[in-house]
Parts: sequence; C-alpha cells; structure tokens
Amino acid sequence: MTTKINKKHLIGLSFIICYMSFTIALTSCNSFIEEDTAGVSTADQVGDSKEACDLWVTGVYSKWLYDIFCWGYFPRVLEIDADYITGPNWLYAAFGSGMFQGNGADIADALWKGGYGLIERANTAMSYIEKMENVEESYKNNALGEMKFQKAFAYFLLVRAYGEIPLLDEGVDMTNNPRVSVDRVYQEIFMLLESAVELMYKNTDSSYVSGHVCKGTAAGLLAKAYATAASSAMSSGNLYIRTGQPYYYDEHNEKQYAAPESMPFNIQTVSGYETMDATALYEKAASWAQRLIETTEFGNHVLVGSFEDLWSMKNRYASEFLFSVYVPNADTKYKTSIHNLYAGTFGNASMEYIIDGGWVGNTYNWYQLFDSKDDRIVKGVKHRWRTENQVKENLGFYYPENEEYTTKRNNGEPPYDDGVNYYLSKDYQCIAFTTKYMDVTDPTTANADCPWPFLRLADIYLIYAEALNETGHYSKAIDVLYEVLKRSCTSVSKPTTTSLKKVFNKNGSYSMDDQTAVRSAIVEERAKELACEADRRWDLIRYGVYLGAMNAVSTDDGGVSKVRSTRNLLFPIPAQELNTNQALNGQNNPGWR
Amino acid sequence: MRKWISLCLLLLVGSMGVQAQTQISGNVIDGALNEPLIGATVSVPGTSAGAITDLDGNFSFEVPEGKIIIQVSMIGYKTQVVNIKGKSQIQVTLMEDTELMDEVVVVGYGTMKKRDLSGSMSQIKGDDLMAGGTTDVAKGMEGKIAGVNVSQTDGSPGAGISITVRGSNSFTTSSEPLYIVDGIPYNNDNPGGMPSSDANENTNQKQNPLSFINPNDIEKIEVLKDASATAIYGSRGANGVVIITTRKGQSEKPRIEFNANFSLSSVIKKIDVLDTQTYINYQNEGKDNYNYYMGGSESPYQTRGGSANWQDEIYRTGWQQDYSLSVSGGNDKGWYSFSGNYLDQKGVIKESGYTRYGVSINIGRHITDWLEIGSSSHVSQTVTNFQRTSSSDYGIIRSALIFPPDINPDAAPESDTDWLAANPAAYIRGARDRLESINWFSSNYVEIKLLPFLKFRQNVGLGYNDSHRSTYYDKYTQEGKAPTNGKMGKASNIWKSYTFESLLTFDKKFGVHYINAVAGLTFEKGIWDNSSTTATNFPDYATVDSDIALALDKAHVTSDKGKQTLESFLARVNYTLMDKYIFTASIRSDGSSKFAKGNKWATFLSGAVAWRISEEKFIKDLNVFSNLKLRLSYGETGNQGIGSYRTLAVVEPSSYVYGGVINQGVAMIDWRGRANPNLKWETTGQFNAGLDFAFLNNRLQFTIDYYYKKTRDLLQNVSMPYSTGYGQYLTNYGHVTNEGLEFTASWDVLKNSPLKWNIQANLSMNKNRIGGLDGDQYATVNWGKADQMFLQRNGCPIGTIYGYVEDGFFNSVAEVLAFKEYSGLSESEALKMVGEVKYRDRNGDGYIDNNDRYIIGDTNPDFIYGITNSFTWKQWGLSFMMTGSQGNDIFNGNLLDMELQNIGNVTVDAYNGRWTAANPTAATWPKALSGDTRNMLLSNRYVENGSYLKMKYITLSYNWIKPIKFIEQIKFNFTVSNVFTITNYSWMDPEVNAFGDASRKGVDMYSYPSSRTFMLGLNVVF
Repeated sequence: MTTKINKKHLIGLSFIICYMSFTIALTSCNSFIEEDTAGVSTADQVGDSKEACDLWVTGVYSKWLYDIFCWGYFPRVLEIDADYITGPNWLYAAFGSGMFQGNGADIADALWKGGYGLIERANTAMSYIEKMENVEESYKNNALGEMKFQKAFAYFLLVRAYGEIPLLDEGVDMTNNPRVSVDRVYQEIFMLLESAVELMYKNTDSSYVSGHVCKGTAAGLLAKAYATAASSAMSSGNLYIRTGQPYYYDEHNEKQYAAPESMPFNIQTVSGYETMDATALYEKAASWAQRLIETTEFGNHVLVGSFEDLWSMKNRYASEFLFSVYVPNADTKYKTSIHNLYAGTFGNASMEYIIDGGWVGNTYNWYQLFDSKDDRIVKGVKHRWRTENQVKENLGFYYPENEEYTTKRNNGEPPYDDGVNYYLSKDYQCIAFTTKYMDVTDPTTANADCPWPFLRLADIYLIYAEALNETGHYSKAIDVLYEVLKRSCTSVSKPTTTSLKKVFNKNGSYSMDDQTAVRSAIVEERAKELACEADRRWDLIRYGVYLGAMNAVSTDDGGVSKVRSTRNLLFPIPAQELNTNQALNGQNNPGWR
Repeated sequence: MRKWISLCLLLLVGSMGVQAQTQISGNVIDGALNEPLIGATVSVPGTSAGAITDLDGNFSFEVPEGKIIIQVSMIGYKTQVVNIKGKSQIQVTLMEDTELMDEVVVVGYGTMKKRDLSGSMSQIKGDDLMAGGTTDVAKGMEGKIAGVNVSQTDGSPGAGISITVRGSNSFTTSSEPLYIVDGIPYNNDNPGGMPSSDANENTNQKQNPLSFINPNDIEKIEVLKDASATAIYGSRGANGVVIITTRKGQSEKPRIEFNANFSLSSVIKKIDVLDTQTYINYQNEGKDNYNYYMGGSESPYQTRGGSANWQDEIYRTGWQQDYSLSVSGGNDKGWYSFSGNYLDQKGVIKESGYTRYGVSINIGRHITDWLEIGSSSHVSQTVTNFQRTSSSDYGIIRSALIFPPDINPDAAPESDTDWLAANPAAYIRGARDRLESINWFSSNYVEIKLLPFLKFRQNVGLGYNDSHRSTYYDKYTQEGKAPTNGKMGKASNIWKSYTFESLLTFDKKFGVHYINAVAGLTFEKGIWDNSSTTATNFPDYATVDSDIALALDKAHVTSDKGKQTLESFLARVNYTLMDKYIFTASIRSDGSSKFAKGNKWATFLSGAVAWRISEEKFIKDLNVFSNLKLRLSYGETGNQGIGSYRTLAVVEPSSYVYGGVINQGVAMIDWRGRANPNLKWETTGQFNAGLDFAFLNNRLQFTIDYYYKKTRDLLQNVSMPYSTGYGQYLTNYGHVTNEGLEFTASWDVLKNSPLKWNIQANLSMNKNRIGGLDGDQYATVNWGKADQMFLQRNGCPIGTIYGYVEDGFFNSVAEVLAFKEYSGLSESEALKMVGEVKYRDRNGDGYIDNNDRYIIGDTNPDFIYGITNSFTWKQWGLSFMMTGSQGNDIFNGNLLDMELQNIGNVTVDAYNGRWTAANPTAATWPKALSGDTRNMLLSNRYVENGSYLKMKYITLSYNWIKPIKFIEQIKFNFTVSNVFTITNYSWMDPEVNAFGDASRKGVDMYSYPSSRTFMLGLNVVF
C-alpha cells in the first residue's frame, strides 16, 4: 500500500491508454458492427439486367412448387370435394368429407395461403422489375404481364372459393385489410388479365420461352373468368346431371354398383354475384374464347391430336396447355404429389406394381358417362394394376366390374393375359384411376416430374361452347363441343339437341329445352374431359348446383360422405386471418366460425 | 481423567472469589499468518464495554462487574467467544472465515469477495457438481441451485439440456443463459446449432452446449441471477449468466488424480401395451364395431401369426465407463493443470450412445511481479449416436409401442404395416444418426499490474466447433421406406468465435472506503459455415451411411454462412463503506451487427445496494446472527437472440422448370415475412431483493431472494394475416413478467461430532405472465396433431395448454341426436358417433369448434426444489439428493397415438378403459374401431399432472487416506441414480422436455426413457 507511483508506472499506463484508443480507432474504421452480407443475398443485390428480371419472374413461378404444391395440399384442395371424385376414406376424412375447418383446415387454408403468397411474390417481383432501366421494354413488359397473370390466376382461385376477399396491393394496411365485393375482385382479375394480354409475348414470338404463360393464356383465363362470373350470376334454368347413389346392397347383402340417373338441378345465383349481368359476361367470354380459338391474334393454340398424345411426356409443352405447373424430376424441394396421388409411385421402371400412392380417382358413376369406345376411359382409365403385396401372391386388380372387362378378365384376354389373377374390390381400392399423370421420367420416385394442367385449351373450347349456348347459339355450341369430344371418341357422331335430350331425358319425363340439353351436355363433357384436373367442384359451385349434386351421391364408392350443407359453398377463412386481420371483425363465411 | 476433574473444580472454586470489575488485556492474532490483527473488535455482549486492537494487536479495557464472556470479532474472521473468568491476560487467535465471508467469487469481468456482493448469485463447487456421478456439467447443476431449472430433453446419452434461470423471458428467442468459461463467453448462440439435413426432419434432438467440458475439470460454477450481476453482460445478460471456472493447480507438490467410473443402467419403466393374444381380440372387436356402428363389412382380423414384445427388442442394459486423469500443481510462480478424459456411454436403447475424448490444459505464470500470463484450453471430440426419440412423427419408441405385436421380430418388414410405424427391430438395424464434434475452446490473458491498485488485463478467447452429422434411414424405416428407398443426410457446421477484451481494474481501500471498479471494451465475432446434403434411393448393397454417391436420386444440397459481431463498452463500480454499506453500479453499451442502423446500440444500466446489518452493533449485540445482509438491486439487460440478417430483405434461390430445364430464380424468404428494419433489443428490467442470514457461526445459513422482472419489446414472430402474403413477421411486441421467490438453506446439522451431517436445500417459485398482446397467439409447435397447443394470452404464462374438455361419451343414438351439431343426422349416421368422445360445448351453441377450447394445463411448476443430505463418519460418506417439481402439467403426446382404431397397438390402460356397449359408464377411451375415421381433438385427456419427487441419487463412499506410500487417498464410491420417482404421471418419466427449449417445455412425445444407473467409482490421488 505504500508503493509510490513512479515513472515506470506512468509509461505502462500511457501504453495501455494508447493501446485501448488504438483498438477503438481500428474497429470503428472497419465498421466492426456493420452487418456483413457476404453470407446472404439481399433483394437489392439481384441487380438490373435481363438476368435479374428472369430471376424475379422465376421466383414467382417457383412459389407454385415451393410451397403451394410441395406439401401435398394442392391439388387436393381444388379436387377432392366433388361428386365424381373418390378414394380411401382416410384421405377424405376431414376436408374430403366437407369439414373444411378443424382437421381439414390445413388443406382448405392452403388455398388462401398459397394464393396470397403468390400475389405477394408477384407484387415484389413487379416492384423490382418496374425499377429496371437496363432491360428492353418489351422484355420487361412481358415479365410484368406474366406477373399480372399470376396475380389474376390467384385471385380467380380465391374468389371462387371464398367469395369476397381482400385485395393485396402495395400500401395496403397489413392488419386491417377489408374484403371487397366479388364484383370488385372480378374487375381486378379482368383488368390484370387484359393488361397481361397486352404486355405478354405470343407463343409464336421468337422471344417466347416454352413453359411460360403468354398472351393466349391470359385470353383463355379471361374467357374462363368471364364465364365463371356469368354462370354464377345466372338465376334460373336447370342443369341435368347424371348421378345418384353409387351402389346398393342386393338381396344377398352384396354391394352392387348402380347406374347413374339424370337428375335436374335448379341453377341458382351464387351469393355475391347478384348484381352481375350473366348475358353480358357470357358475351365477353365468347368473344375472348373466339379470338383465342379462331384467330391468331394471341399466337397459335391448337388441340393436341389424340387423347393419348395429349398426356404423353412429349406433349407437355404443347400449345393446348395454356398454363401448367411444371416440376423437375425427383427433386426433394421443388416437387408435387400429382404422380403419387393419381398414378401411384411404382416399384420399378416397368411400372409393374405400385408401392405407394394411387389414391385419387373417379367414381363408377363417372365411368358410366362415357361411350364404351371413348379413349378417355379406354386409355384414360387404368384397367389393371397391382400393389407390391399382390405381386407376391400373383394377384392384381382389374377395373371396372362391367360386362366388357369382366369377360376379358374371365377369358384371360388382353390386358389380362399375363397369368396374373385379377380380381376387384368394391371399395376405394378399385376406382377409375386416371392415366393422365402416368407418363413421367421416373415412375419410381415419389417426386416425379408430372406437370399440373391448370388451364387447357380444351377447357376454353368448352367455355366457348358454353358461352355460345348461353347467348343463344346452340348449334355452334354443339360444333365446338364436338371438337373436344371427337378427339377421344372418333366413332361417335356429332350430337344433336335431340340426341342430347335422349341422354338427359331418357324417359321423356322432363320438359327440357334445347339450351338446357346443350348446357347439361357441356357441363358433363367438362366432367369427362377435365376429370382429375380439379375443375368439377367449381363447375358445380358456379351453377349453384353443388349442394344438390353432392347430396344426390350421399356416400361415394370409397365410402366417403358427400353430404354437404350451405356452409360448404364457401371455404372458411383461415383462423389466423380472422384473428389478425381486424377488418374482418372475426366474421367468417356463413356456417364457419 | 481424574486429574482434569480436579483441575476444573479448582478453577471453579478459585473463580468464586473474583466478583469486582476487572481489567482485561490481551492480544489478538491472525491464526494463519501468526501476525497481530489490527482493528479487531473486542466487546462484552450486552454492554457498551469494549475496545479495538491497536497496531500490535493489543487491547485493554475494564470488564463490567459480573461479566465473564467477551467476544472478539473482525470482518472476514470467525468470531470467537472467550470465557475470561479468573483471567486478566488472554491471547485470542482468530481464524479467517474461509467458508463464507471472504470467499472470492467470480463475477462478470472480475472477482469479488462474497461479502461485498450486492447482487444475487449462487455458487456450486466442483465436488458438489460431481456428486451423483454426473458426466456433464448441466446435469450436475440440476436441483442444486435455487432459481435454476435444468431440464433434459429426454434420457438419451448426450441429450440436449435446457437451463432456465428465473423463468422464460421470451417466446421465440433462446432462454438459455450466457455461458462464460474462464472469463470468455462460450458461444452457445451458434446460429447453425446442431447440423441437420433433410434426413433429420422433425427431430428435436439437440446437442448439449456444455457437453464438451469434462465436469471433473471444473473448480466451480457461479450463476448470476439478478440484473445487478448480469447487467455487465448487457445484451446477453437477460437469461442469467453461468460462469464456469476450470481447475488450476494449487499445491507445490504435484497432485495426480485418477478417476474411473463404471456403471450399468436399465430402463426404469416400460409401458404396458397389449400382448399378442389380447391385441388380436382387440382388433377383432374393432372389426365387429366397424361393421355394427359404421355399417361396414369387414371380415375378422387375420393375424400375422407371429409374436413379439417390441420393447424388449429395442432395450438393452446400458453400460458406461468414464476415466479421467489429471496432474496439477502450483506455487507463487504460477500453476499448471493437465487433464485427460475418456467417456463411453452405451444407452439403454440399442445403437444409442455417447463417447467423449477430452484434454484440458490450464497454465499460468507470474512472469514478473507485475506481469501474469494465463491460458486454459479444452479440446474434446465427441460422438453421439442418436436413436430417434422425442420426435413428432417417426421414432423408435413410437414404433416399439404401437407396432402390431403379432409379428415375429425377425420377420421381413412388410409394406402393409409401414404406413403405421417401422418394425422396431428393423428400425434398430436400419436407422443411424451420428453426430461427431470437435470442440476447441481457449481462454487466454495477460495481466499487467500498472499500479498497486490498478491492473490491466487483455483477454483473448478463441473457439472452434466443428460438427458433422451423418444420418441414414434404410428402406425398412418409415423415413426411408419405398419410394424413398433409403435416405441419407450429411450435414456439417463450423462455428468460430473470437473474443478480445481489454479491462482496467481498480481496487483500493481508503480508510473506511473500499472501491473496486472495472472498465473495459470488448469485441466479439462469430463466424459460421453450414452445409448439408440429402440424397435418397439407395441400392440394397449400400452400407449404412458410408457413401452418399450411391444414391440414385439427386442430392439436395444447401449451405449458408454468416458473421455476427458485437462491440461493447462496459464499466462497473463497487463501493463499500465501513464494510457495511455496499453500492454497485454498472453500465454497458452494446453494438450488434444483427440490428439495422439506428438500432444497433443499446445501453444497459444497473444499480444495487447491500447492507451488512450483522456488522451493526445493535445486531451484533443480539448475538443471534453470524451474518445478516440485505440486498436490493435493479438493472436492465437485453436479449439479442435473433439470427443475423433479420433486418435485411434477404432473398433465397427459388427454382422452376421451363421447357424441361431447371431455372434459377430468387424470392424473399417466405417464413421470415417482410424484413423489419426497426427491430431492436429485447429488454429485461429486473428488481431483486435478497436477504442472507446465518446463525450459529454460519452453521445454519439462509438466502431468500425475491425478484420481479419484466421483459419488454419481445422479439417474436407475430402472426400476420395471410392476405399479406406472409404468415408471420418478426417484430418487438408484447412483454413477459416473471416474479418469484427463491430459498436456499445450508445446515450443518452435526458438525463437531464424529458423525457429520449437512443439508443443502433450495426451493424456487416463479410466476410467469404474458402481457401486451393485442390478441391470442400460439407458439410455433410444428406438430400437425397439436399445432395450436400452446396459447399465448395476456395474463397467462408461457406454457399454457389450450384445448377441448371431454365430457364423457355418446352412449346412444338418442344422445347423439340430442346434440345440435348432429341433430340432422340419420340414425345410421348417428350410430357412428356412439362410443365416441363427447366434447364440452363451452359456448353452448351446439357445435364443437375452436371456440369451445379451454385452458387445460400449465407446464410451469408452482415450485421446484432440491435437497441434498450428506453424512460423513470417519472415512465413510453417504449422500443423497432429492429433486422435485410441483404443480406442473405435462402434455403427454404419446397418447395421441392411442387412437383405438387401425392396426396400431395400444396401452393396456386404454384397452381396459375402452368404451363398450356392455359397460359404457366405466369407459375412459372410445370404442375399438377398425379403419381410420376417428379424429380425436386435442383435449384434457392428453394433459397430466407432472408433479414429482425424485431420488436422483444415493452415493455411498469410502475414503481411504494414505493407504500406502505415494498414494494420498483412494476413494471408492457406489452410486445409484434415479433411485425412485413418486409421481402420478402415467408415462415413463415426468422429467421430459421434448422440444428442448423453455417456451415449449413440458411436452412428452416418445421420449428416450430415463434409466436407473448403478455406478462404481474409484478416485485415486497421488
């Protein structure tokens, strides 16, 4: 304690002070606590170039894979709540049985989350692309047009499912974003699409890159959106659907399939569409469809020649596919469950047996809608398949249990000439599985490269036919309908209003006008042509016949309940949206809490 | 003996004559130094008489008439009471009170005498840490410190540990305390964490951050709890600070110590599931019920013809060996300590285990009288072999419990059961998850004595952690079943940390004033680099995880790297007046790279006062307390526990295919939500009031602490309307308060007898409350079946379980139809509901939906406690520790799989309680049913009382001193751990924390079972 402070101490002290000052100076110069972004990429680093523009656009398309489709909720959310679709009851247990909340909420919410996620991505991409100065105007415009199409498509999916919805534009209040009227949503969709038609390349332009959407896509969606709004606004008329309870128990208490019966369902205005003018909208639909189909204004879009070619890998990028979601082969991140869900994942490359999946198919009611020569069931439905366990016991399934195929099975005729014991199980295991999604690079991976056809020219043909019919041109409507039909069934002759009435009014017990007959035929043709393309539910909804059609089935082939009530007309808004979006005042769609 | 009695009698008789006031004089000396003690107080209790010793340690004063007892005391020394009857000259030797008062404790950026402490801290010594034969630091701390909750993920070897000091502060950021090893922050906030690949999806297993240190190398651990102690760590002090000091050599003579432990362990509790025959009956009943109630037409159950007890197939007797050898020594020139350690644990589940090789060095040298250099380094290599447990989807325990028992263990796995679970025997063979880590941590310093009272210290810390994880699931596991056909993941994570701290310490006593002050600046940098590769579809000849190139399906490759920095200025002053009044104030300014400009810097202040009341005369005169100290403090600390780059609009690659060709794209990272440049620190303000008191010359010591802390500006992911395009948004929102009481007691029940008995006990209570939210939120659980399980609501604690309440069963069709939601059903539809669970319709609207949920549980205990009893008698020692937790609920996620439908096996309890038409009233579970249509809601069925009292260990030891020449001692000990547990919890072990963190604790989902361990230990000192 008595040590005196001497010179040595002072030198030491000065040294330390210098040292500490030096350290502070050194680190401040190097901005020691600046965030070092070497480890990450930020939006501003993406740049201003053609490549940067491509990067943003691709990022938006990518949302479809990661994360709209990759979790397996798509396409189920659009597909499995319909009358002709069936499968194992565990797959349909909640959402597929009409319970869109609770256990089914994951699936139902996927549409809301996915839709807005896509819109937000498109908004972000647009905001960066718009600022670009080093990109050619037409290139930039095409990119912006694609983004607008993606937004419009998302709004279209959302408005059909939820009715009034919030719009997501820049500057929107994040926690107080009110729903706007259905009419307003459609105005937004039409505006976006009409602008997209202007901005995008034609598929015949040299700058067009296959796989992207193009002018024709936007025109096609315009036709479909107008027709959707129009049919939803219709307040009268009938639609005949061939349907009914699919099976009964005979006197030996054995399950027997029933033949579908034609039943009339009243067309009703869908809630929210009351103020819209059906005829005017149909005229618009007809006009856009006509320009797409009959002119080269939007490039060159034609139907693929045959049913078989349509679903082969080589035609994935055919002009008929206006908008498909494409997916790489066997990628663990950018993936869909389409091949697994509809075709099944196979144990080997020769597709001898299924090891997983193959759950979703059509009912026997649906199968019976077709002419027996129609490729859409001859080639478009699996008539035999096997699971891994069946292979061990030399067993296999055949389908369907009708005279034609049972006889072939009994006689060991092709395709049952390979010595396998084929049998049939009258439950979810044996349903009309589609072959649309069979042709992939590697059928043995759960993440096969099977595209999802969101919008197809055949769909627009039928929209065109519908619009023509509703605007009084029945005969032209049949011509257009026949274009689709004859591709898959060359042996049938062109229907007439008389022949159609025979189909839908077999016993002559109803009074049916021509327009109703054609309308019913077109909607049925849609069910046949667009089966397993997640379209059926939305047709039933837009005509206001969903409840009638579903309840007419009651319980389907797979044992899935199709009993529905009014609340099923609209999907429930996700709980989190209700909790956090104050503008909704906690008010969900009718019947949902 | 007779001579002694005579002498006493003589003294007694002699003293009778002395009655008048007498002069007493004497001399007081320091017993250790044998030097006079200056300033010691000599007094006569109950009177004002007394004196202070002079420079030579002498005193002299008049003793009042009739008084024969004087008391000699001095701060830092044990008070002596002397009988002066018949004496006029005495010599008193005072011994330093090393046990308590002058003990030096480590605090942030320095050391302090324990008596000068104003904050709340607890200390645990190396020996106490090792009691019970622990192999890792965190487990050694369990139950021993009030306010510190150590919870293991599960019983797996090398399992993760979560330490929470005084309750969880936050929903999303880590609640782990800051670890300081030999003065240097040990970065457990490595953003890469445990490496993982897609092959580890949904596993919750974590690496124990402290597993790299051999607990044998630890001298002591200090836990700083209140803000006055932790505020000096500023932005990282909010969760408490755990300071670990490793052993240095002390004695001139080299001390060689060898430890060896061997143990056997076995599963404490297996779960009773149905045997083969009962299972077949149960399946048949399910089919019958399906046909009757569901209108099905199923044929009787086709047994698979085998028989197995799957739990027997996966468990084994665990075996552990643990060796360590150390050599240490020291003198006034410096010290050294070298140690090596090998630990090998084989877990009770086959193929699981943990191995550690470690080497530690701690050396220091006084180069000159003003220069000191020291260095400690710890290098370890660890290998952890996981078996998948505590996981929400697949797992070995899940398989063993629900896999059908009518299959032979050696049967080839069938694809018709693999949707349910993997064959457990095949799982054991086909699943590998191995984590290999190299950890190097080095703490170094140079200390220069600039002035007698001023020291400069430069600390340099370097850390390096390299972890590699290899995972492989073959095609017979669910993870790798067809069409995946085997899945392999390779992941690695490198974390490098750098710490530079320059500190100036001032320490001087001026008369009655004592000042200890420290000022410094620190720089810290952490760099990480992660990569992971996952590939699938392996040919049959692939041998486990050897060659990822064998995969037929493309590898999925990811990597990321980053850097984080922290720059700080800090200062603390500790001022003690007259050894009685203690004042502490600290300040720290932290600048972090993680926040955007404008929010980078934050300053944290604290202040504390303490009053050593026992030094006041009026207390001394009571002669009751040997220590009495009141402490009050308030301070603020922060939490920067978010990842780097969270304030930036970061993009990630997002690919798509055009024309069959993969194209690269970019997009914002969805889960992050919109970038929030306004993020700032979470701040915790904490008030602490503490009282230390001791009696009987410190034989009985108590500490009571009350605290109230409020954490505001919580950094959390707030749910956003999905219509914004994102589901969440990271922001500062809401607050959490923790209020609690902590009691610590130490009692030498028997001290001076041949049999010695010491009791150490602690109890802590914490009340946690959420506030400041606009609406309810749910913790991110990422568990499909229980997604909205943890409610976050104002006024409720973190850990509130939310769900439905059951209301018996539907016993008849009429009862079903009477319920509004089902009133429209046909009879046959309503029949389906008979024998199903009825949920309580809370709002009475006739429908069961989200609005009918109640708060059904709280995972926070009312209090937790630990009691350690130690007995020594001659060379023998016996100690045992009991720990307990009272009033906490556990979410028993295992029961979610007791569906009483499909082919899954169920517990005997569930089966016996199933609903049957014959006995509907006694039902506790719904009817047996084949198929997969039942959806049970998340209800109070799954919430159980998790209170327990556990005998953690009993150790019996024999210490053989100097058995032969060259050997100082040989100590044998025999320890039984997890001796018994008293609990009502139905599953394996109430000590479970499947998610491994504080905000989602109390979840059991197929946890690795705890085991009872018998250990034989040997300790030899040369």
